[in-house]
Amino acid sequence: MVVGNEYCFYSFYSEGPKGLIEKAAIYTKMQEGLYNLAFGDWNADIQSLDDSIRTNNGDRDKVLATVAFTALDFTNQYPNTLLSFEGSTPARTRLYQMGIGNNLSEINKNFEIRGLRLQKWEPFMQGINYDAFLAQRK
Amino acid sequence: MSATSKKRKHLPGITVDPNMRDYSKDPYVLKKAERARELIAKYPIPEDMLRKKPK
Repeated sequence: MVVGNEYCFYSFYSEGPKGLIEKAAIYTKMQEGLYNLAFGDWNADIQSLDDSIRTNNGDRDKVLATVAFTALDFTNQYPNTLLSFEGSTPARTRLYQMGIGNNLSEINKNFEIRGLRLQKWEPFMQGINYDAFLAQRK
Repeated sequence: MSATSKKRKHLPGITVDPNMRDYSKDPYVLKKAERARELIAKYPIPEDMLRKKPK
C-alpha cells in the first residue's frame, strides 16, 4: 500500500479472480478536525475514482479491512480528527455497515463509531441500518 | 480541535510515494466531499465528539 506526501491519499490493490484492481481511500478535509473518507476503484476509462462498480474480486472483507487500516494510519498522522463516511448508494452504505459490524470488536479497540439513523447520530450497533457514519479515534 | 500532522511513522506495509496521483480534484472525491458537507450541515457532529480528545 502506498500513501501520498500529505498522508491523505492511500492506494492499494484488490487481488482476485479478476486480477489486480487499483483502489484508493481518500481523506478530504471538511473543516478543522473533520475529514471525509471516500473510497473507490480507479476507473481508467473515466480517469476518476468510482464506487459504483461491483468488483466481485472475491476479497471484499480484505478490502474493507484495508480501508480500516488506512483509517488507523491516517488518524495516527492526524490524531485529533473525526472521520465521516457513507456509501454513494444505500446498498454501498449497507456494505460498509456490514463491514463494520463484522469487525466491530476489533474496530472498537481503536475507534468509536456512530451511525446516522432517524436523523440522529447514535452509537453503532450491529444489525441496525444507518445512513452514514462517524469514526473517532479512542 | 486541531488536525495538525505529526508526521508519525506509518503502519507496517505502508510506504510513502511522493509521485502518487493527486486525487484532490477527482470528481468523485469532490462529489463525496460535497455530499458530506451537506450531511454534516443537516446533522451536525454531536457535541460530545467535538469535545473529546483522543488518549
